Amino acid sequence: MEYFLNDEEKALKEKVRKVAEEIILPARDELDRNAEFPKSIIQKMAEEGLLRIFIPKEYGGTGARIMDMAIACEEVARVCAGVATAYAVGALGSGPIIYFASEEQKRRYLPKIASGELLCAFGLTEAQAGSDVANIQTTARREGDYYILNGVKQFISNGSIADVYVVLASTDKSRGARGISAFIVEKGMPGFEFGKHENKLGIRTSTTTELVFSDCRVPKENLMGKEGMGFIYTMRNFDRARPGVGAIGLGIAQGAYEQVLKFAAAKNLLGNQYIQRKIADMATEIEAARALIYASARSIDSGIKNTTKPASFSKLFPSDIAMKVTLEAIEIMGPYGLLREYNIEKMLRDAKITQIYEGTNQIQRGQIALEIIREAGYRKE
Amino acid sequence: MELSKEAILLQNEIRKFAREVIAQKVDEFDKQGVFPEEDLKKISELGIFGACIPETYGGFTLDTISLLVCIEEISRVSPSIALVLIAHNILFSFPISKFGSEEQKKKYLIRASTGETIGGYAEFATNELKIQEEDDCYIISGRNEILLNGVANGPFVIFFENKDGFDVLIIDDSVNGVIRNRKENIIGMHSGGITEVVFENTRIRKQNRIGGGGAGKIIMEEVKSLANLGFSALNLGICEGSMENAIKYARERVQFGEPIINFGMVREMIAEMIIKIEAMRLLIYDAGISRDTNKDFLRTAAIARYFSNQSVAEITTNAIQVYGGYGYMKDYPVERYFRDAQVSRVLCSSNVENKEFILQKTI
Repeated sequence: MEYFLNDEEKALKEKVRKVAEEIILPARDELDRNAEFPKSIIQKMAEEGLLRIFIPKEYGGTGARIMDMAIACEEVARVCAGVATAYAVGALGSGPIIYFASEEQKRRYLPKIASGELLCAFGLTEAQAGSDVANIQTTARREGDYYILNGVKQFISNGSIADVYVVLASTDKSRGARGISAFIVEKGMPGFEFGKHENKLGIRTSTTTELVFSDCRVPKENLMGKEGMGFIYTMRNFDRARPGVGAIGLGIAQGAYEQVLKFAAAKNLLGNQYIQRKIADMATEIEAARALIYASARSIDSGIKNTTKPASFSKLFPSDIAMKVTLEAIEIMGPYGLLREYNIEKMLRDAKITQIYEGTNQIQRGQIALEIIREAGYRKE
Repeated sequence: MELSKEAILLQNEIRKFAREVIAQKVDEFDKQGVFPEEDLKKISELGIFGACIPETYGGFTLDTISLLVCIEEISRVSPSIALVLIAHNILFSFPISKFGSEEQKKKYLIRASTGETIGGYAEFATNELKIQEEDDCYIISGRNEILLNGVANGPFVIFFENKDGFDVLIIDDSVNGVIRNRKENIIGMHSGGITEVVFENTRIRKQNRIGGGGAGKIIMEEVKSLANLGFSALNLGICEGSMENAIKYARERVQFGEPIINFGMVREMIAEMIIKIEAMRLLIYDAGISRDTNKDFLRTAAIARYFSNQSVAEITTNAIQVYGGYGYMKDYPVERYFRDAQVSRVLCSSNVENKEFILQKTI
């Protein structure tokens, strides 16, 4: 379909596709098998300037447009959603710095994140704070010129690999969500270690790790924005990052669909109307997902005030489509679909995470519903 | 729909065995890809390896419902072991019991009934197997990605299509020129003993053909229909295992100050699981009872398979969803059920085939 991408967007799409096919494709199977972080690939992507798209122009980036992120994430995930996750964390981790950090903090970190010299990550989730973000137990206690962090972050993408972490911790437990603050923590700060590495169903090349803070001393200059604003920063950051997750789902669906089409042709199934029906439905749903992501991205980029609904739309639907298309793909390919060498079973394993991370699809539905109720002027109770 | 007293007794016995014995190492075996020989030996002591074999050859021909109940109960804990039982009983022993020659029955069923040998199964699509005739032998060449129970090194049957239609051969465990390689590249059923199988000009005696003279299609249809029920019971067990875990987790996991089972969107996912499991069970038992009372069960079996294939995909996906991030980690069983479900829902017949079969039987 014609989406009237501008010249830069078209060039970006082509460039990412080239990198994905030439560099990621030959490596993806082994990366998944060994659950090994794609360090050299991310480095190569940085050299190609692909990490710059997450960063504003003033800090060495190309504009931090959601549309660019959507285009790039789809193309990477079309080949490997594990690499796409490792890549997209660059946006999730840099987002809070871009929008809420001080000028000095921005100057210190963003140009190096743009160039790939520093990798970033976002440390929010804890054992008891999954969907219930505000329930984080990690604390930050002010002591002279430092904040002392204690607690354990769980399921942190790019944990142990990244150099810079935006970490959420409570500076005032009595205030609940309004007592949460955001800090920039660097790898190597005393008292900051890495715990368990998770063994996952899919996106196995993306590293998922615990961050362990034991009396970790963080200079007070590394507080981001104001104390107590961490929860709000987090929600706004999610609004900007979620279209990227949707785009990863979209990329998986697109990759799976192409694989199925190739398979059906090779097995002479294309004359079968049962198969034609499935392929037609897949293509339609994928196109609908893409149109929704692009529309959401364009409206967020246009500067609309309330971004929650488009962000949740663009995560919810494409991730559900990723799951639907990959499950259907296995059905069409039958026993072949179960085998690694046919490149579908990995896409199915990868697809499942897109319904979960950066807010489960139930959380997305809840947010959409609440926005609708609020906009319509009704009340929940 | 109520089970007979005997079936309920058997169900309780197998359930207890699955939970007390099989459950102990099921996750460890899955992670390491271990074929659970000890568990299978204990299962053979319960007699289940002779479930599709007449008494004359050491078996006891369990009624369909009881066999399905056994598969379901074992699958709830270990889908891999349930798959081993389907391959051995339904795909290997049953065609020999029903359509085999006296010689074949004596040679294969007696040792199969005790579990001394575990029988296997592979199915070749059109043109995947080259077959020539020479004197009293077929000479076959070809490769198949999935030989069920290949690890057990027992005899197995192959189903294939040739110019005269479907055909079935028994491949003796002593035959030369059969290569079995452990299959590590499959998404699930890692304890199921799946190998690939390669024939290179392998000589199979003509007397190892089952049926013959155009009987292949009838054998195929009967075996596939019973297999449809077996795989439906496998799907059902996976769904029940997934749901039990999801409910347990949802009751324990506290978010926003209360167990997540209190939240409507979680409740809805679990309610849908309950509905589909109940509907699936009714279809499966209905087809099983039809078969046990000598009524036509082929159409209902295909409907049960179709519906359970759809449901197992949905339920295992949503069981992970209930767990959230935890469900995506290999530390919890829902991850394993999800992978095993993919194997369970595509082997032996696809849902496109099932739909077509249901339609043909109906119109």
